[in-house]
Amino acid sequence: MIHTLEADGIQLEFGINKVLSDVYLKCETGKITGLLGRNGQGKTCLMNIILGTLKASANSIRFDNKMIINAGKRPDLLLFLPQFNFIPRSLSVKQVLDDFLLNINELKNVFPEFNSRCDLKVNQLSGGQWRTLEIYIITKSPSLFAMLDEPFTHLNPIQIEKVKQLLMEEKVNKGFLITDHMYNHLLDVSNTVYLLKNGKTHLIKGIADLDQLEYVRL
Amino acid sequence: MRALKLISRFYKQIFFANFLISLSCFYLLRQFGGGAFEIIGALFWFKIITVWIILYSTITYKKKELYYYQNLGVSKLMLGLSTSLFDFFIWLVLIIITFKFNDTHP
Repeated sequence: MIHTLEADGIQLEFGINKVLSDVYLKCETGKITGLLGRNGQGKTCLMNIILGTLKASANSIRFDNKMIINAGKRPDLLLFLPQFNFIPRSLSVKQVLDDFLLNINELKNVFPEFNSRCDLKVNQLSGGQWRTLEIYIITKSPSLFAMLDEPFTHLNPIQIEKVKQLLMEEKVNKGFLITDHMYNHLLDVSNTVYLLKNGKTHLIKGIADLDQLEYVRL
Repeated sequence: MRALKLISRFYKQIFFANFLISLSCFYLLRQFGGGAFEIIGALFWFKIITVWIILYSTITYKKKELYYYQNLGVSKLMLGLSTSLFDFFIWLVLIIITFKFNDTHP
């Protein structure tokens, strides 16, 4: 069964500055939806509104056509990877996997660099490994949808390729909404891509659309 | 069970500061001896305000980590409410013990 997550009718203003005004976004399980946009266009705000941690003056967030408020309180429905490190620095890799009920050997299979690092605390990992672990737990934990805010940032090219492979494998189990400035990687893995510009979402059919909407210069 | 483990892990971060406050209340009540009833109202509000300040500053300082708990199904509200109530319970037990101690050792 395919599940859907839709967001529309979202109005967000900060004072006289209208951030979001005409947004429509649809994610489906089994698919990866990409969200592009220049800095300050409201990508993270949009994710926070979907999550329920930011209040918009109007919004409609629907899971399988049913309105939901505070989806962030339902990790079985929606998980969120923020753009900053969120794992408490005092926890070890083992503790984190234990909290999320994930198998340590599976992590080692996907990311062999963790072979000798599972007893370390996360603040003893490199920035890229810390981020990889965060992506791994959000991607592998059971949930219908996952939103990833800048997952490729701070990763080296090999880690990025492994994360892309992991996303392609895991999209069978859930739907992803991903935003990142590394648009080439995003276009590689996404089934549907939206560009957020001037508070509106634009459905992107190819890289030429990104050029036309002045997101990239070809 | 997992939620309990996560809440207790969060509580560990604020336990020391809160326990010092409770101990200071214990000390003041011992100092006042038989007249301890006169300051119990002030101590009650002192405890309530300090619990709120410690919780607010911890949540502000650790706000990025709250996403970790949220992804595991433990909301900010659940963390704040459960740790505050538990801490208040410890304070209450300590106060009752102090009054009993004052009665037997005036």
